[in-house]
Amino acid sequence: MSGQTIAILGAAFAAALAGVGSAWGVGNAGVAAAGVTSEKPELFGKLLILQALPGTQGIYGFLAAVLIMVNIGVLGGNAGTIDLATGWSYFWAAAPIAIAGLASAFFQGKAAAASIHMTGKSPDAFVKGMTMTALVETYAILGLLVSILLIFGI
Amino acid sequence: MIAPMKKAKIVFLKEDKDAVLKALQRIGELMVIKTEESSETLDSSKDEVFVQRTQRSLQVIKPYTGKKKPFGIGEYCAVNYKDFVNPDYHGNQEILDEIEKADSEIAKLKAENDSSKEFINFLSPWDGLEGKLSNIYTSKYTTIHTGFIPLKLVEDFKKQFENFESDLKQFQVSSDTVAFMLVNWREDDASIMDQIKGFGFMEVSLPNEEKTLKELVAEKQQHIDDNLKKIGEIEEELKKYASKEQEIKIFSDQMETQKILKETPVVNTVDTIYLEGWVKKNKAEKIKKAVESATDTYDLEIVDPEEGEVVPTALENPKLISNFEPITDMFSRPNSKEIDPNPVMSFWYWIIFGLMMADFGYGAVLAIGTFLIMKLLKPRGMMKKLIKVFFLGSITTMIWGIIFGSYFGAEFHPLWFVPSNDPISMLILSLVLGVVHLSCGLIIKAVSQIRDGHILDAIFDEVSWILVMVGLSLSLSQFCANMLPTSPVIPPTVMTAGYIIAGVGAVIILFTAGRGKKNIFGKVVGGLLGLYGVTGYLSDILSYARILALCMSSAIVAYVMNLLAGMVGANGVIGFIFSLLIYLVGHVFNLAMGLLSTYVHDSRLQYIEFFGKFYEGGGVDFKPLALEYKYVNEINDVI
Repeated sequence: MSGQTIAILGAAFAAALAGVGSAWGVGNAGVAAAGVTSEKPELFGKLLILQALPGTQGIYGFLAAVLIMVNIGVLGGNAGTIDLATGWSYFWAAAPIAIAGLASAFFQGKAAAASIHMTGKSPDAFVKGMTMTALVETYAILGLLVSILLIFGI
Repeated sequence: MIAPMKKAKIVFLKEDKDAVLKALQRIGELMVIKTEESSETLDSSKDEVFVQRTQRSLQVIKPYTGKKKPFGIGEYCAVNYKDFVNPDYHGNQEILDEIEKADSEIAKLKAENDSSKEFINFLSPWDGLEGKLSNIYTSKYTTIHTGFIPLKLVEDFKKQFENFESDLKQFQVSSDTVAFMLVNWREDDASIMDQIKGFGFMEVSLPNEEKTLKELVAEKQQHIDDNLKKIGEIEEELKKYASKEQEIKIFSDQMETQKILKETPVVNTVDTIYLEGWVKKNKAEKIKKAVESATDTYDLEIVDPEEGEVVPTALENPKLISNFEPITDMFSRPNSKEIDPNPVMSFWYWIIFGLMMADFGYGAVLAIGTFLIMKLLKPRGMMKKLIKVFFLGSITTMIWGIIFGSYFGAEFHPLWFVPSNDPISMLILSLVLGVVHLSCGLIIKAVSQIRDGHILDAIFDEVSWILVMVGLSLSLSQFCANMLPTSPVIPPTVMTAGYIIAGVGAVIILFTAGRGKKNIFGKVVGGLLGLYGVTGYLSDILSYARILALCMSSAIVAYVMNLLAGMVGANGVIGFIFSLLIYLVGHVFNLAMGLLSTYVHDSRLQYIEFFGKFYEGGGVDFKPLALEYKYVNEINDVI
């Protein structure tokens, strides 16, 4: 395996794992949102916001993947040769957002689903639910932060 | 600013009740409250019924209001106060009656048609059946069965029947069954029916009518057509009422207003009425004037709230700041004793909003979009304020976009640095902003403690932490500077000053955090635990890294969209069209996701990090007795 292949592996994992987590989370929240909407269609707008919250991890993973692609020259640049060590560096730089994104999106989806049920019962609690759900995302953001700093540091 | 409140106690004659309450409702400055004595309200169920009826009728005529100008332009509705408080019961009731009658008539006709259609469906498999239906089962020597056989068993069924001396007539084939008519000799009937049991013959009996099948279907079809025609006529009738939409809407608001008026709690004595309520201190004079205008015989007392009384919170902020009030209210309404967080919060919300979006193009689109929404849709209440928050946020978005040189994700002469090329600078900016933001929260807490006379507490609990945060930030400045691309050199005195400041703060905390404890052991542990609180501050400050994450993610997605559009765009005309599509859809998606994240995370920074330092909340909303209108936009000459 060349260094580039390993770096690409890292980029692919960042986008894929974080994306899987987000799909999971948004899907889980969507099931709850659809259930509540069937009873209270007027809450659709609020529920949609809650449902979309676990979707950001996918974007973060995508972001890390793009940064790696740009850095190794796969995207919009000159593809130079990358040695094996650098390739592995990129791979591990992608790990924090890949893993933290996967797990945090999964659990954020659960929190979002619970908040959706809560909003269904008392619509005024919407912002409280939103804040609770957003708390989970902090760890994806920290993961992304580390990934970005690592990618730029290589 | 939280407006200071006064309590108004009013006594007036029973015969003036209506006039006084109406006058109070007109000015809309008094929040009448239930007193401990037996407050009574009037029965408002009639008005409630009217409110519901108007809403139902509005729904009924909605499809017929037709030719609506897009976004409801020109629907602005202003009513004079005199007209508003004198509802036309007779006329409106007539309109409502007519609309309801038409609505139930349509429902009845539609239900009839549904059952007719069902009947036609039931007969459809027997298409081709000759003769009057009442005659098909009557025969001297034969027994006749009609029914269905599952499609997959039909071939076997037919084969089986070749053995019998019976007549088998096949009718229409449906998706999974075939309709058959069996004509058996009477004496064979029982045995044949027994033998075909295994084929799942589902017997049905056709209606016993003196008509042929064709006639029956035609008759039902005719009935359906007639009903459709009638429905058309009624709908035509309803279209006439569509022009009354405005009147119904006004009537609905009138009834809501009356309902509120009737539900005002007052204390009835033999000859007088007593009520009390909250009024803003500077509006007390208006209450007096309003009561004076309604009656000569009254007693009005304006007093200060008593100790421990729950005072509602009325906010009085400049218009610009008041737009941000819903953001605080959605978390918790400020209570009447604390400092209104809105003026400071709104400024930070505004700055951080722009920093999270940080693109001139997106800011411009957002500005135009929210401006159009405000002008065309004319949102009300909380929605209006929220849209205005986004509009104001678009201004900082454009400013930061220019500073970072970001125009729809394309880089153009940044004034400072580009976050996606230089995340370290952006991270440091975010965290520094966090330190200042948190310090603002601590300062507010300190001010309110000083206001209450607890100056030492303010120094021990808030000033000390500001010293620690600022001191540590200063002492880390060279470490941070080394990571910047330019690696500026910070004078060592700054670092030394930082160590000293942080040290002073830490010492204050160490010696005072345990001051509430009685014994010396408790004081020492309390001090150490207080110092341990630094971890909380660390996580609070790190939380501001989300500014970097959001700013970068929207910038990178925009960059990728531009890249993709550019790659596709090189391939001739079709490529150009596709690239345009990618460009538009991509940026709209990115803007929408960015807006959602910005709204959520900007709010979160205020709620968790900023409010966590000082805010109590839990206040009661100040809801004065006022004219209630949801459809009417404005009532003229209220005051």
